[in-house]
Amino acid sequence: MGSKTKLWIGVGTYLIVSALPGLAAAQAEWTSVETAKTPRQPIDLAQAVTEADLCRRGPGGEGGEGGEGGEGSVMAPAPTTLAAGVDAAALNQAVEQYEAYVQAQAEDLVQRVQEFTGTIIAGDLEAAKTLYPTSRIPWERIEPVAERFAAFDTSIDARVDDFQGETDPEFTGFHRIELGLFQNNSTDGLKPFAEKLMSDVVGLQRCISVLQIEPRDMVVGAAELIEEVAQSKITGEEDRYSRTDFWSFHANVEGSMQIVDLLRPIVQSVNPQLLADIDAGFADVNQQLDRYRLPEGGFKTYDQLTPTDKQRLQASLARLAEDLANLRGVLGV
Amino acid sequence: MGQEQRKLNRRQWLIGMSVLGGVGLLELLGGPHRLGRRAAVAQVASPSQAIPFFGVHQPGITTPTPAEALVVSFDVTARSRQELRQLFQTLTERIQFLMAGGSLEVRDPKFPPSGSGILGSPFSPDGLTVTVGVGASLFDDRYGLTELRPKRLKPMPRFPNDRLDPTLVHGDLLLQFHANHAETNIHALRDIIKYLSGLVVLRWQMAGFQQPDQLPHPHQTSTRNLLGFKDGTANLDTQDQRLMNELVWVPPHTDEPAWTAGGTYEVVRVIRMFVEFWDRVALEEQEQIFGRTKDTGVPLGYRREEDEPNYARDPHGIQIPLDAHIRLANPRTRETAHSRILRQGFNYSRGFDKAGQLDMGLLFACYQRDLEQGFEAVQNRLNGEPLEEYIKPIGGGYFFVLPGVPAAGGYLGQGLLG
Ligand code: HEM
Repeated sequence: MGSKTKLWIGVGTYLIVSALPGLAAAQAEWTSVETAKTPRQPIDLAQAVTEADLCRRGPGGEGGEGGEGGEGSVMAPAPTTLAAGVDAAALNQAVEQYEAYVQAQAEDLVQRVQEFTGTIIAGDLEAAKTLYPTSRIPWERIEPVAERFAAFDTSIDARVDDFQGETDPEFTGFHRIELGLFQNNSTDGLKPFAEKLMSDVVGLQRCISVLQIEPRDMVVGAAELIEEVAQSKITGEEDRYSRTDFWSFHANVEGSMQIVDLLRPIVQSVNPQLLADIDAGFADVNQQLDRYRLPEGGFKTYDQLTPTDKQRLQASLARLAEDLANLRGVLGV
Repeated sequence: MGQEQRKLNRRQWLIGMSVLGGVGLLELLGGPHRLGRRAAVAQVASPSQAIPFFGVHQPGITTPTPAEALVVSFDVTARSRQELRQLFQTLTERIQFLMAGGSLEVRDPKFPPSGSGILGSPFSPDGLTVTVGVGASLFDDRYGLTELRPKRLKPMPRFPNDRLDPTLVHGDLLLQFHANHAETNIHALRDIIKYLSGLVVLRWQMAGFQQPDQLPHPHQTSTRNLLGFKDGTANLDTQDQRLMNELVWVPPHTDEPAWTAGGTYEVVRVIRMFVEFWDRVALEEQEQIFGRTKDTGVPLGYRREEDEPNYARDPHGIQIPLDAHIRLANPRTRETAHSRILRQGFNYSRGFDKAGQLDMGLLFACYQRDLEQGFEAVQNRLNGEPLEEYIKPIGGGYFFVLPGVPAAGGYLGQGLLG
């Protein structure tokens, strides 16, 4: 979990830095000199502080997790020198496009979860079951970004293994609802969880709306999404009650491909071979996922994955992860 | 504990044992003498020790077995014969590099480092060997190799006492790491996994350890297994080239595909021991089960560890029971001489089981030029032996160890894929 905390500090740091005029100026200078990154539209300081508070402490209110980020850690990211041949303006543009993508996904998440939780509150079990896998898609696409808000990550997407058990009151979010819908086969008692999930994704979306993504985080995010798949999606532990793991799996891959697509012209200009390898890796993974698609859309249940196909996927993901791990060095971010 | 320290303790302990064991005066006098020689003769675990990679045979079989072993079985996911060749070429390069020791390639810090760095850089060879074998499944229809399968290679069958764990058997590719330190094996494994990504996936693995043999005589050993008995005493002398050629290495011009010459068949057996139970068995019974004394490893009724039992003079098993492990394993008759095998044993220990009993045992490997004449003949004689009450084979597989790479420029498996 170390990496999460670190990333989280990064986010908190940005917000705090923005809220302190002197440092904000220093940072503005740094960004213009070192990465030539144009600061995003100015943020209302008062609002920034509240958002910082919410995004740091998360949905729990008082104290909460990730407190290590604390106000004291005001620290600018290390200056960086782009690799030769990488056009700073083009990179900035890619990052801005990615920010727009992440924000659009966060907004889409709010909409989808609204619809999903609506069916639960209405007690419509079948509709809720149908919407469960699709409501999660935007979350999975931007998982590395969303996960920086550690407390939201826990309340929205943690698995039962992170708690004392299925009855642990801390166990909330998608997977708690999944347990009710698919294992208990009922919407009974899920209303509070549905309401909490809704308010959490709204909170998350607010945090994301003021988030500035660093080029490095974007680039590393492409690899993180695939690491996530290789480490835990492949095992089928993600959507264990609904067996809709392929949806989450695929959404992670989509999120990673999105990043590579936005960086495409830049990578193409500095290391076309790496880009070709990465594209081949994605094609390979997608080709295997395609075999589990249903004609009417969506995917077969994860328990239908054969041991041989699982091995193939494991191998392709490992190869792809190795290639994506070189993206940061190739760009010099 | 440092290697020097461990060695020191080992020596003190050996002296102590001779005294406590109450062996003859000669033995006592021989003790210090041998200790003196040992420093010069025994293969001392030195961190800078590099074992040559090139040769007609792969290293790691007749080279002395060091303290740490790691046996890792993979399934091959290469999609074509071309990719399979690439796998073996890359594997050869990495093994050569890792066995020689050296410095990791330095990269721009924005890239992942070129290796795990767990040994630092430069790193020393540390006696590392990586020995490569292939399973029968590699010769299925995937790569068009069916015609080239070593004739005697097949999936390991189940023997009567076996309770094989499906997650601990077989595999397309077997890598056997030996080194003076566990980290050296892990360093090599992580390196290889990184460089072979996409081409292989892990199937099972098992780590083993042993106190390397400190005794120079080929038929004496200081190494013990986890039942407390000396293990390796009557093993084949790996320095005896003629014997190795006769029993271990596949010779040229046989009924085998030509490429197999210089290779050997390897059997791996993961054998769980029920040690709590064993520790409650009377010493006398323990010794009868093996046919040797526990303390000194001397055949029952003999004087020295290296003495060869003469079963013809003990037809009723008065001295060494007819069903003793060593007697069944090697009846020492003319007819059974060709069933002798080269053994390598490492201990393993991995926590405890659901019953709350220690989960440890023997990571057994043996080598022979013919599986039926070698391992299977021995195992079939051992089936039903009294030792079975205390052991349970739970994993392993049959593999063919590729011939060595004679010189730079070649690669492992070249005869098969070239
Ligand atoms: C946990 C299982 C086993 C234990 C604890 C064990 C232990 C021993 C011991 C203590 C000895 C006597 C010392 C020596 O010569 O090395 C021995 C000898 C031997 N064992 Fe095992 N062994 C085991 C499994 C096997 C298996 C699976 C095989 C082969 C199928 C085997 C084949 C032999 C042979 C060939 C000898 C040498 C007999 C001789 O030439 O006198 N052992 N074993």
